[in-house]
Formats: sequence, C-alpha cells, structure tokens
Amino acid sequence: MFNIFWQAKTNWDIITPALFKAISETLYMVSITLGLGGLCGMFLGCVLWSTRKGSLFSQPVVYKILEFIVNLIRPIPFIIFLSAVQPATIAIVGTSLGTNAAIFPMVIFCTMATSRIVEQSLINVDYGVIEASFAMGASRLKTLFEVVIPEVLPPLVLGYAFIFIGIMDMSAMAGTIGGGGLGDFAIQYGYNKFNPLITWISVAIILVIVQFIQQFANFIAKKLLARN
Amino acid sequence: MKKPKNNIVEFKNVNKEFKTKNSKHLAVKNATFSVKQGEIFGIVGRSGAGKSTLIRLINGLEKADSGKILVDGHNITNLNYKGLKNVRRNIGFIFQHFNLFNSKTVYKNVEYPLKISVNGVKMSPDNRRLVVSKLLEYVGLEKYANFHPNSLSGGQKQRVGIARALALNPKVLLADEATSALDPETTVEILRLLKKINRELGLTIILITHTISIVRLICQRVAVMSEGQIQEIETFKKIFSDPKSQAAKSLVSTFRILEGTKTIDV
Ligand SMILES: Nc1ncnc2c1ncn2[C@@H]1O[C@H](COP(=O)(O)OP(=O)(O)O)[C@@H](O)[C@H]1O
Ligand SMILES: [Mg+2]
Repeated sequence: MFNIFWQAKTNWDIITPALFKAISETLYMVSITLGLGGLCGMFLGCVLWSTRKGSLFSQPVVYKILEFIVNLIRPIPFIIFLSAVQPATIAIVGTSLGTNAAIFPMVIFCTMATSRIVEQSLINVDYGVIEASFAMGASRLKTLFEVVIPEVLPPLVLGYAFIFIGIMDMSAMAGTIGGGGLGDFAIQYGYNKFNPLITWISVAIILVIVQFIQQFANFIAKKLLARN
Repeated sequence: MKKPKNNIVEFKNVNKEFKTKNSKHLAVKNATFSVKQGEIFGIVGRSGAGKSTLIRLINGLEKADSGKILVDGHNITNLNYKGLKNVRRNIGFIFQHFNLFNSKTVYKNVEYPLKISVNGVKMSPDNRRLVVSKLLEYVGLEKYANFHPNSLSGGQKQRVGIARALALNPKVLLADEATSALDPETTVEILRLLKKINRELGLTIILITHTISIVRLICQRVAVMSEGQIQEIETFKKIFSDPKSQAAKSLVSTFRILEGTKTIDV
C-alpha cells in the first residue's frame, strides 16, 4: 500500500541546486522580515507601551486605536492575510508573485507580533527605575531608550527568537505565491512527487536553523541575565 | 518683602488629591512648612499618611493641585516640563528599594545622571570619569565600579543610590524610606553616611521614615504626618517628651515599646 513512496527516484542533480536555492530564499525572506518587521515591531511595541494609561506618554485613545488594529490583524491566518493584502502588495512591491511579494505581508505580520512581545516585555519594567530616571531630570525618551529598553533586553532577545520561529512558519507559506523557500521545495519535490525523503531533508534543515537561532538567543539572554 | 534666604524648601497651603474612577483621596492636605538650608528634616508617619506624596511634590514627580512650593526660592508649581527637569537636577532622590538600573554597572549607574544634557550640553567623558570615581570613593565602592547591582548587598546598593543621587551636586537630598529595606546595622551605616554628607557637603536632607528612632539619630526637626496632614513639627526631644497630636503620641508610645521601656498591655 505504501510502496508508491519507495518508487520515487531522487535525482540529486536536480535536487541539490534546488535545495540550495530554497535555503537561500528562505534565509533571504526570513532575514529581511526579521530586520524590517523586527524594527517596526520594536517601534510599535514602544509606542503601545508608552501610550498606555499612566505610562511615559499616557495617550489612552491612541493606545486603544493601535491595540485594536494589532488585535484585529494578528488572529488572521497568515495564508488568508497573504491573499487579502494582494492589492497592497502589488501597489508597494509591484507584483504579487515571488519572494519579494511574500516579504511584504510577512513584514506586516511580524511587526504586529513583535509589537505585542515588546509591549509585554516593557510592562514588566519596575516603575521605580523609571521614576529614578525622571528624578534626575532625564527626559521621557532618554528614559525609554537608556533605562527601560536595556532593563528588558534578556526577555526581548528571547521574544525575538520566538518571533523568528513564527517567521520561519510564515516563510513556508510563501511557496503558495511563488515565493520559493524550503516550504515550497518540500511540497514541490517531496509531497507532490511522493518522495518523503525530500520533505524530511527540508524538515531537518529548518530544525537546524531554528535550533541554531534559539540556542544563540538563549546564550545571549543568559549572558545579559548574568549581569542583571 | 525679603524672602528668608535660609529656607531651601517651602510649602504654602499645598493640596494634592488622587482621583480614581469612583473615589477621591486627599493625600496631602493644606501642607505648610519649611526646611532650612543644611538641615536634616524628618517626616514620620504610618504607611499611607501621605509622606511619599509630600516629598514627591518637592521635585514635581507629583503635581500639586493648589498651593505654592518653593525650592531654593523658586516656585516650582507652575513650571513647564523643561523647567521641572532642571529643578530635578538640583534635587537628589534615594529610594527604599534603591531603584538601581540592573542592566548597568555600578559605574554606569552613577554616570547616568551626568549623561543627561541640559540645553544640548553634556558633561565631557573625562569629567564624567573624574566625578564618578570621586563619588564611588566617597561612598566606599571604588572596588565595585564594574559590578552589577544585583551582585551587591542591600547596604552597597543604597550606597550606589546615594552616589547616583549626589552626581549632579544637588542642593537637597530626598530620602524615601531609604533604610527601610536594610538590617539595623546596615541602617546605621547608611545613616552615618547621610550624616557625613550633610556635614561635609552641607547638603539639606529630607528624610521619610516610619521608625522614629531614625529621627532621633539624625534629624534636627521632624514633621509628624497622619491622614495627609502635618500634625506637628518639632525637634525629636520635644516630640518625645511632649507629643501633642494623637499621631505623635502613638508613634512615641510604639517607640518606647520597641525600645523596651514600655511593655505591651493586652
Ligand atoms: N498614584 C496614586 N494614585 C492614587 N492614590 C495614591 C497614589 N499615590 C498615593 N496614593 C494614595 O495616597 C495616600 C498616601 O500615599 P503615600 O504618600 O504613598 O503614603 P506614605 O508614603 O505615607 O505611605 C495613600 O492612601 C495612597 O493609597
Ligand atoms: Mg511611602
């Protein structure tokens, strides 16, 4: 019954370059998304946290609006969001197909997720250190950048590792719009050709990348925590 | 009319109310008092009396609803954000839980206030290094410059807090329960340091405590506070021998019990 799987022939001459192309596409999508979305998310997260009632720039109305937007977008399954923003993708990237077209919705999603993680980390800052900074005559922005953010660096680093895994997940769906990457590779050469070996190779590579990043983040966070 | 020059802090009919959704709470009621230049001034009272709110009004961490607060002769109640930041540079603050920056070394903690610019001007790195090392030596922590606060004892942490508060060469030092988290021996060490600072630097210290024995050790005068009001302002001796208000009587009686000259009646 399962012999259909074992009849599949693996043509390494085709597979090997395709695999390397897929790896580089995945790394490209993931790093651009983490860079852009991570930065935008950091910014949005700081805005969310500091506009909370009683926080640095206490602006409850602004906070409510931003929180509503973030909460609205975040629960949408990514693959549906990808289709939903097609017009915007075309307007901004110029096309709705390919790796770059996939990056646009990924960055938006990454921004939303990161902002929440950043906000949650910042909430844990002891108000006492903020007060100490104010008591010395520091401005709110200086307090945010030089006191608040450094204080939560360890959880932030771990938060970003968590985000990274989410981005890997999103990047696998980029294949559906011709974005390539390891997800696309696994479907095209593994699933569609009944060749599980190929899928497992993708799985293994993804696991290695994720583990590497996670361990690296743990290491950094531990270093930072040691001084805290 | 000439202002009496020797009042570094002056309150005139100051009120501060906290409003929450369904309640109002007058945390400071009609406070009128003054602290003299070079004095160590105590504020005692039970928890919730309004002590913290009162001293947070001095550096504008809380805004008064009415009344006048003069710091070094300048009314701070109508200052804008920028003016307030400048006033705060002249007022050091130390806290019960130290509020040190755990992500920074002891050195960086003390350096932080020096890196705050005024009108875009900031102290040069060389001068900062000089000031920080002098301060660390002054509080006896020169060996701990590269330590992180979490590896220090409570007393050492408060020394860092004190060095950090002195960095901008303030005119007044506010201490909110600065020894309440410390054991008795460390408390005495910190009080000794505060006394030394007062004597050598001529710094005015306003010190909040709920233990009146601390008042006896270092304060020239003390304000007894309860329910948002200052009940009386006197020297420790006067309060101790002749407490007038109910709050002062209760504090003195508790002090006697803890001291062992009075027993608990059941
Ligand atoms: N930010 C605030 N919002 C609402 N109520 C407050 C706030 N700060 C203090 N209070 C209230 O004001 C009163 C005095 O508080 P506080 O000045 O901290 O007293 P103390 O320092 O003497 O213990 C308390 O009843 C407290 O609950
Ligand atoms: Mg208090």
